[in-house]
Amino acid sequence: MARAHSSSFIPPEQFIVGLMRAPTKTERWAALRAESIEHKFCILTTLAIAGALVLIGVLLLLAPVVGAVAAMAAFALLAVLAIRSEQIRTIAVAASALPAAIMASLAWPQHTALGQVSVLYAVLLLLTLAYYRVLPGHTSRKKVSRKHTKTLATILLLSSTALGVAGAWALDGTPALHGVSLPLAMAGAALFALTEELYFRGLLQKHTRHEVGPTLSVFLATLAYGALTIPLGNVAATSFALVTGLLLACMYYVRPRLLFTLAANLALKTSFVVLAITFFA
Amino acid sequence: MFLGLPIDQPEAVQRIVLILNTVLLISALLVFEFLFAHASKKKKKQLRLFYPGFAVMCGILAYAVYVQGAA
Repeated sequence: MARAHSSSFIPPEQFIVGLMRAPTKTERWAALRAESIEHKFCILTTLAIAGALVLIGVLLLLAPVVGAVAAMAAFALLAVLAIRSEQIRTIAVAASALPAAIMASLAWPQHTALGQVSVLYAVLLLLTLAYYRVLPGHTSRKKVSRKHTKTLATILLLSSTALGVAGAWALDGTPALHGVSLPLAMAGAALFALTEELYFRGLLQKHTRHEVGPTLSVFLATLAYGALTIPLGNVAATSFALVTGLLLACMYYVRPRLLFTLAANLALKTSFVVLAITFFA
Repeated sequence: MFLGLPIDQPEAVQRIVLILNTVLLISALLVFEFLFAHASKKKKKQLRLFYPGFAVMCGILAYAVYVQGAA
């Protein structure tokens, strides 16, 4: 008599019992271990991405040709990482905007420092807006507290303004603003502040926070922000950028609202620009 | 903080970026075409994440063509 069923056929009653069976201890342990490995992989990859961005900045300072190749290699590797790994996909895609903007800026050299920076920020802004459209949005599970909003906002604005003043004094302004009129510099400051907040906080820190946690997201956002100043070759400027980046990232950590950090960044840049042009240009 | 890149970069940097970008774009298109052809519907939706990057590379390629034509 021919067999009615193939060897791989599971009788319906066994199938239903299998579905209803609780996972064994071994299965639970295996699932937890897999989740732990995935999480560690995400953390290590995030640290590697931060290191790569710093390395690109250092190479651009020491050997611009090698730095340009490194930026392109980083962009390609981040794309491969995004294809291969679903866990790290959003972070890799968000981080890839920076090397892409650097590539575009290097491909289109300008005559002035402000022009060069403007190209970088324009491409970064366009990419950020495009990624806002295609990356999955993450809604925070916790409701953002409205307690002490006014006090926090006041402290934020005062500390940012003080930091901008301190920065302009410590750095003697910036070469990028030499010969630039105040209205143009203020418009540039507003655009750069908007781009920075949309990208570093709204895209990079937000998605990293969702995947690997808030502390590492602060670390990545701060390093990425500081890494862009490394090619200037000015230790004071890089230190100032790291302090500023840390302050803004911590603000976003405490109160994940872009409006706060945008207002703080704008206050910082405005005070910096006004002092730099008035006294140091 | 105004962030900057070296403004007195040699033309070699621009040339390297334009050439490598073309190579990178062609490789990326080949890989993308292969992935797109063999991907499930869900994965095809996820491949949309790479469109902005492609747009930047195409923009740099267009600029490279313009520079080549102007030279």
